[in-house]
Amino acid sequence: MYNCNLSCNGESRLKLEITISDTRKEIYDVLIDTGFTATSIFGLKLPLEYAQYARNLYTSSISLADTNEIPVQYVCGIVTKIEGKILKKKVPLWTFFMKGKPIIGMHFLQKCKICFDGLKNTTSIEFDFL
Amino acid sequence: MASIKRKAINQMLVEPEELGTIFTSLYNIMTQESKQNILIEVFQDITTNIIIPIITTSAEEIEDRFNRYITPFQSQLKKLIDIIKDNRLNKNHLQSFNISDIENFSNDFYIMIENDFRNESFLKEVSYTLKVYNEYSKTLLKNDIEKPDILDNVLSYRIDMNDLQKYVSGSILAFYCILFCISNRQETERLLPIVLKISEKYNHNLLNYVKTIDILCNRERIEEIKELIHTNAVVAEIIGKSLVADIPLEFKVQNIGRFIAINYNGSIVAKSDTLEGLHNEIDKKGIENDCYIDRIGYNTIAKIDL
Repeated sequence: MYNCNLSCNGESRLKLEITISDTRKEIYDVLIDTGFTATSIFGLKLPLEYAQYARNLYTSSISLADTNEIPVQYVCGIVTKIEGKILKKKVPLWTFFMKGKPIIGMHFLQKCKICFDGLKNTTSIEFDFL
Repeated sequence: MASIKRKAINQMLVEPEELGTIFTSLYNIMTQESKQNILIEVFQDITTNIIIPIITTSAEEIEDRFNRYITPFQSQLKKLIDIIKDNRLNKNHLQSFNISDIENFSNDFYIMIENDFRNESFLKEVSYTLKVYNEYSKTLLKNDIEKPDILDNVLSYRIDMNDLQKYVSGSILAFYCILFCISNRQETERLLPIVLKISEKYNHNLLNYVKTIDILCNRERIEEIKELIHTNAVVAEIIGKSLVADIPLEFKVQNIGRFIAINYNGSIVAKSDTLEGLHNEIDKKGIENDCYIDRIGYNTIAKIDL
């Protein structure tokens, strides 16, 4: 297991590397959001511009917490690195594209140990890295 | 000759034939060539109550304010169209766009602003606006003549008419704002690039709608917009929903609550009780095409807590 300390300033963000179709992309400042639950298949939201790397896209309507229904395109991406460290086991993550900042949710967080230390104002994430 | 059915087209805020008149009137008013008092009154109302509040806001807020003023602008546009329909103007004045109109407009505008260093981006956007309006008029009129029933069905049930009208009105409003900026250069110098960007956004979305309507009327040409489907979730959803609407009722009744994947040629390529199962089946079958995913009998496939 490898422990990474993340910056924490009222919210925590991480850097990840994802493969969409055959394209590898580094995504910075991905917000960790435990409220992005695992009740749907989706585990990652990326800005619209990343959709261009997908060879095939699925389109459908989803409903958001504010009850708005919106069309989104999605794909299964593979997370290969966290904070620059290569993951021992790659994590497939259903990813939808929508305007706004990148957000990672519980589907991914369930695969690691994460600690939000409010008193020390730090966040650490533990993963099996190579 | 236009069809006599035209139920849906007649309900549109801006019918294709009226677009040319609105545009010409706008241009004539702005260049002080119009002698139609009744039109001038409507345009003064629009200028005072809509354009000036938009243009006098800060650069950061202009787009939000623009979006909020589309509904009041639609009421004014309706007034203008009613005047046209009431024959208070010369009926012969009604016109739709054609290529020579676009060229004439572009030439007139070029003369109007030839010494203006901003003319390149301005002219580019005006040409784009006119191209989009030309496509809008041409596509609706052509399908209205050739496939009136299909067009009526598409406009009534397959697309979001309110959304379409928002883009038509937004595009006209943006054009009015551009003209206003050009004729009041000193005060609005800094805002012109922002207004041009707003105009481009509305025109782009309107053009996508026009292409989508055309393909929904002419399914055999679906290949022409496969790229647009791939890059635009709204277009992909409109086409996808339309394909789902065409699935036989018997299949829908037998599969209510199930998830299906349908490709853009209209074939159902996978079905499953769960979304995960659906994607497993797609993987197993090695399907490598864009697909629309639907849950039969439901509006959405998932709820996301964001």
